[in-house]
Amino acid sequence: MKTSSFQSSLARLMLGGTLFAAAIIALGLVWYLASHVGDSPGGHIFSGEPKFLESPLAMIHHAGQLHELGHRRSLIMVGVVLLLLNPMLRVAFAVFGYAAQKDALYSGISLFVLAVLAISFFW
Amino acid sequence: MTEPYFDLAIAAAAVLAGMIGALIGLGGGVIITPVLVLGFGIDIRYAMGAALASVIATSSGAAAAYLRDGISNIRVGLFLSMATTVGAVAGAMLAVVLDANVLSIIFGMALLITVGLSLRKQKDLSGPAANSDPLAVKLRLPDTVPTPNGPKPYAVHGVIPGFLFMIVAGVLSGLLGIGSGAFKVVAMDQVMRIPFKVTTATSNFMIGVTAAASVGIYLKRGYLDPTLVAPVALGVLIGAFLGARLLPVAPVKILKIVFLTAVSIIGVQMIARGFQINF
Repeated sequence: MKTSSFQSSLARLMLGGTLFAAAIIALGLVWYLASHVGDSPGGHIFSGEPKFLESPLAMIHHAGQLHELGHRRSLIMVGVVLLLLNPMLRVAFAVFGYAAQKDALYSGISLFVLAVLAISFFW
Repeated sequence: MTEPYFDLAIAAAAVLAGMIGALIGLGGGVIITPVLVLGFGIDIRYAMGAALASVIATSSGAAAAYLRDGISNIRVGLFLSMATTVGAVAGAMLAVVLDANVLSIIFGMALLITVGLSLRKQKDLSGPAANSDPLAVKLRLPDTVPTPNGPKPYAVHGVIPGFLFMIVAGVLSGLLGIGSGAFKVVAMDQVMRIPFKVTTATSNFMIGVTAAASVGIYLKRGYLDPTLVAPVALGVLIGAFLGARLLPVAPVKILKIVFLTAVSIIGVQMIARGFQINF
């Protein structure tokens, strides 16, 4: 696990994932703003968010529904969720890396962290 | 102000926050939230959601750079992430039941403590590997740090106090939507006595993991407004990148004095806002 090839592939994964997610968010924002030129923002008084923006799966489904209201916002959220998945991938990568080295202690520790992340995210 | 100018103004503020954060060593998250709340009149819960997303973005970028250099101690990072993630989940659950005014007060106090921590006299307490805490040895936490004269081994102390401190750092992260990097670094370099270079790099690895533990709860509670998250996360990311580039040539000492003063004033304003005092 101390090998530099492991560290540099993890670094590439993290950087690539972040840039990819950022690109989708930027695309979604431009697309959203294109249809809202001249609108008053006003949406920043707390009211929660519509249900379709509160679960990752519903969001991806919604982003594909081009005729429905709000799909442009869903595209941004798909990018945001990709961004949020980055740390989870980081930990999942560690689980497999340590398991491959038969390091029971650290594959266990990373698995615990991964479980906390997965439960809080998908539950 | 109408769209798209409102979002552009927010993105510009986020670029500045990210840049200042990188230059003075605070995260962009802890700066952008009060700017959104006090400057743009955005609800603190939306501001915290957007800031937390930006924390994940910058931490992933910065951690990637450190990993490449081989300074991060991944075992320490993963071990302590058990504490920060559990703390962050608890903090986020607490955040959703607290009143926005109470959050504002706690946020202001955390800002003031953060300023205090970054002003404290830096003391590298690291020592030779032989003096490690036996528990640290059992967990294989001691490692080496690259130096011009080859890898230098270092000791790791205070595993249990450090772990407990990290639970608190995690709670703050989930409660306020910040990376709580300043608290994590203190736990590692003052309590566990790990060398500075390693603590900064490792805390970047952990910040994103910690933030990811609470962001799911923010998401389900509707704290992530896509039209706010997008300009904030992109802006802070770009700002942090620019800040890191400027770091070698910027007058860091002066910037630190100016902006830490500003952050303290903002902290007081957040507290006053929580108590509904206007000045």
